[in-house]
Amino acid sequence: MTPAIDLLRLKDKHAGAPPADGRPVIIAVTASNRRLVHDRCRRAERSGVQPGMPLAQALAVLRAPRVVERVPRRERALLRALAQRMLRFSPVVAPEPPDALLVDIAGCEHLFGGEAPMLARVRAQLARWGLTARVSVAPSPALAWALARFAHDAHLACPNGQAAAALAPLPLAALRLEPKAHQALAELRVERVEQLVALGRTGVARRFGLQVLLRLDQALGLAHHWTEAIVPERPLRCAVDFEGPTTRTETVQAAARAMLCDLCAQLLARGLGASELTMSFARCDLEPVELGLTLTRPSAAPAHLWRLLRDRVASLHMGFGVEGVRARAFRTAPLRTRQGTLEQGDRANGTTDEPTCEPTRNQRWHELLDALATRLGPARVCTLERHDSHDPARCVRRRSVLDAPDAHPAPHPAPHATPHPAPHATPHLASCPARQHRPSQLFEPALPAQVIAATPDGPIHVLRWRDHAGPVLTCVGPERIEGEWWRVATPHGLRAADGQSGHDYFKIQDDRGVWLWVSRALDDGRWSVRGAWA
Amino acid sequence: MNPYTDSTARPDLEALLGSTAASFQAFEGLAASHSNTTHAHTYRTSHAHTFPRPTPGSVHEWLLDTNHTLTSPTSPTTPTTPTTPTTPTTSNNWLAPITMLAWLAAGTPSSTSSTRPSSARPSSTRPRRVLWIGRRVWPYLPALPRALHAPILVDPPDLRQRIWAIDAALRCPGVDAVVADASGLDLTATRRAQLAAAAGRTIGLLARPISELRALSAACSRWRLTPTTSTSTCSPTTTTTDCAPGWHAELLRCKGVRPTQGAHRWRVRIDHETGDVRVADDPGDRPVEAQGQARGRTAG
Repeated sequence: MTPAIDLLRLKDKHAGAPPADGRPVIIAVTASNRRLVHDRCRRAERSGVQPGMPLAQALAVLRAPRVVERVPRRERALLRALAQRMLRFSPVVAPEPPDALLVDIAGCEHLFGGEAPMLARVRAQLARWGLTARVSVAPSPALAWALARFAHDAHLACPNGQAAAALAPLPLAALRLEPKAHQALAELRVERVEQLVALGRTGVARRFGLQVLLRLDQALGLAHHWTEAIVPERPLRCAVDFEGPTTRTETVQAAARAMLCDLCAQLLARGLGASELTMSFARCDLEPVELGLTLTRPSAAPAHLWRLLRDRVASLHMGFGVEGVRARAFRTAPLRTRQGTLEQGDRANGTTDEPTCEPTRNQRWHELLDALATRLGPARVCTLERHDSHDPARCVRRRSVLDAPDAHPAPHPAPHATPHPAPHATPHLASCPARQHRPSQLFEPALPAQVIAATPDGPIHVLRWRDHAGPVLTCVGPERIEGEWWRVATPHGLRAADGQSGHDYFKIQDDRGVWLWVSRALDDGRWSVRGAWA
Repeated sequence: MNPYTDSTARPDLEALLGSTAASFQAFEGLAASHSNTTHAHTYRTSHAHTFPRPTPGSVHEWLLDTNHTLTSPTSPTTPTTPTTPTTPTTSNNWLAPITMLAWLAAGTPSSTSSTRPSSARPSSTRPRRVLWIGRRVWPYLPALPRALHAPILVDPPDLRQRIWAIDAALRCPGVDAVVADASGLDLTATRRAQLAAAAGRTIGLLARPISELRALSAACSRWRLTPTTSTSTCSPTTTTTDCAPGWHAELLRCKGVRPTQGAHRWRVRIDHETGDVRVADDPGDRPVEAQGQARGRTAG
């Protein structure tokens, strides 16, 4: 059976959706300080925009085009994703960067009623995804590639046995020759493949190299054309169904653990770690129970995941019995692995409960954060991050560790790495006052206080707060910090809302020796203790 | 391996510690710097420069004593009747000595202890992994040293969860230090914390209210901080920023060390130029009543 290959050419891949607003789309690329047209949509093509044209020229030709910058990484990802989707037509799909897909439909076409209906379906499907593609069928991959690019629309499908006839009228670029050979042939005014064939094989091989003949043979299906087919991505899930409902805790736990191990083995095979996963327990006559798990860092260690889930599985409400257990990884990320030692390599298969190698301190740290966040709740384990504000109560924000996966201390620097500066040296940190002028602890909320001062703006002499009242030994201040007037604008002008006005801050030492940060609101004169140097 | 290896200064320590000396190694500051001193008095003064730093695998308790007014040094206190606080601190509103705990957790040597080679702490530049367990000990980020600028704050809902969190954090080898609110921890819980710290080679810094000064504990050491008055330039009308908070740090008890009367005292204050904690050159004077209590306490 002759392999027939489809070849797709992606055009509007950057635009995502087809341009509904009717504006032409140009993909721009910056090459040596010039902005050039990398690719264009059909409309722009009709207006005469060609790849390689300066962008300024294209902008002059078109009316209000949409210019998109080329992102090669995104192109590759899109091609891979499209290859996964094309698996519905054939099990063998090979991406051919930068913009082609080879689909081996040998033996698949009868499932769709033949070659022509299949091509129609492929085209329709691609159009539904918003992609403009040229789809061709040929006995060899190289010919299909050439036909999709250079053939006339009426000759996109090449029947078996007519490869030579289909190839003959194509331009020489269809063979993808080396630039040197291509240029040498062009100097001889060899423009089409049939002219090259007419030169004779021996002469061509001697004058332009064997590679030209190889390309020709590949296009004719006489030589092999190597492609790399993608591996079908199965969804990361595994499930087990019991023969009947069970209420035995041990059975359910063992099944859950086995599913976790299976899932981790799948993850490890792809070099991934799960950062969000769920375990679902199907119950008899009841809705299933979902146990979700979010991690601070992707992990594929079954022992660690089981430690986090064990208590929750043990306290599961099983109802009339559990019928099945399934595990699914929702969000994954590449796993940063470390090479183990030689003797560790033997047990490093990931399917056992033992860790593949001794976890690093960094791994242990993240496992601890996972354990804390799972048991206490994500809101109760948080990091601090700076916020751009001069208000002392608002310049630091708390954030759950699960929301800020990269907010932790950097892992231990590699031995060859130079000691990096502090990772949290944000620019506005420098504008903050020196840290000795800020208390070590901030009371949230501020505690109300009563104060006796000789003069309204003068130093404080007596302070009363909590259950303590006494004279003030030292009073430093005031330091006035205005509120953020831009946060609330009242109808009467730019007056801050309650609790957001400016404050006069005093650093005082009470008669017990404790240094406190006392403030007076500027709008209503309320006194409060804001923090302490404890 | 002995924390107080100066056998000439403390001839009784070797016999006291015996073979379990390694498990008692709680500080490295004392062992590092002292020379041939033969008298208890010189021993004390020679160590006023260097504050003992906790070593990994040990748990220490810190209490901030705010029960005594500094303006009434004649309050009637005798060694036999130790505690008569003028304003008793209820269990709910006590302050945790966060400045000192942050300084110890940051692990950088103090500025006065320049005799220690800097290569002894090669990892002091990387951010330290420190957990702050309990809202009571949550720090204010702008006041923290640079090494602690990526803290993890934990807020356990009750005492049971707090004990569990302290234990889990101390047991984790990836943690540098754990600062925790340890109010209400009993002997069992502190023993658990101490064992966890030994297993994970982490430093545990527990803040306790001063009302638990006499609570049983398995921690390596117990410290009391008493606020000091400022320098004489400060008065109720001072407007300079020259005044800095300071404390007397007092080692009340330490595992493996025979209790001695007032032997371990330091004076620390916040340096008003760098914001770092600075150990004063002289131990200074403490309030009279606090000294009296220390005498009565360390004897027991």
